[in-house]
Amino acid sequence: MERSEIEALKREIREIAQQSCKKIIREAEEKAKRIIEEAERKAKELSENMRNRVLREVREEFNHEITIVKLKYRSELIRLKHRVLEEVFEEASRKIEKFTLNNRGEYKVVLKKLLLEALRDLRGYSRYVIYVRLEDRDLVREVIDELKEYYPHVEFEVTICPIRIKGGVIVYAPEGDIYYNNTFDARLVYIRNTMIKELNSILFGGV
Amino acid sequence: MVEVEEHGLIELLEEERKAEEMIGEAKRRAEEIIRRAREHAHKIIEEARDLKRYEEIKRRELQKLTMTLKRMEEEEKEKLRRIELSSKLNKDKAIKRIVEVTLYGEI
Repeated sequence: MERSEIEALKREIREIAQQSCKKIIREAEEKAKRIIEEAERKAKELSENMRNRVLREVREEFNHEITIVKLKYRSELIRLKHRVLEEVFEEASRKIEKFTLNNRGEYKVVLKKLLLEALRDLRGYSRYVIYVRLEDRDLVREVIDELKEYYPHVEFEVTICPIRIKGGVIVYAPEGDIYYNNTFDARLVYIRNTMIKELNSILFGGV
Repeated sequence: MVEVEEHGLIELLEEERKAEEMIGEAKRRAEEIIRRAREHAHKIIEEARDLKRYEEIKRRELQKLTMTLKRMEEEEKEKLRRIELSSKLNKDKAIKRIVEVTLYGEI
């Protein structure tokens, strides 16, 4: 083997070794890069999951608080509406009672209308018992006298209502064992049940 | 001639030994690079797991939601106040309507 051949072989060995070294280092660096990238990806995912979990926990806890607050104000609103409606009906009731005592002429017209309403509903019987307040007895008798020409064959009996009422009439038809309660008390209850939407709108603007 | 060849062979063997050493060294460096990368990766994951980071997120979110709740309460109070005021202003109208229907309404 010539000297020059040996040198060439030595160079070749060195070059191969250097290339191998470069490859080993390059591969290691690439692997390291992949390890870091994977860790960063995992960390990002982990971080996102943890963040979402924390936010979810806080919001769930808070939703509970919000529900409590909403319920608190909802019940306050209901109480307020109930109180206002009570006051309004009490005042209306007082005004009606006052009206029946101070406006006898007008009240007579109202009583007539209430009586006719009841008689229309209970038509077809020959005898009616009309329950009224003591203070309305004479007024109702006057109304009946006025109605006699329209009900010539009908017998009316006016009697004092055994329960305390604010005015109006209860008409009872013994033949049918049926009655029509047209007292102001009954009308107020009916109004309270049926006009609630309208009253809500007047008082609270429909809230 | 034999001497030259023998000497040349020794030189080549020596060169091979040096090459193996170089490669060995490169492998050690490569292992070190990977070891450091793994350490760094571990650190990255540990940092992501660190609960203190989320305490801050939690604190900020709680602060935000507390403000929302406070605002909501204020709005509800204001709504109640407005409703109460409206009921005071319209009470007479409601009473008049009830009296009117009770006395004259067709029920």
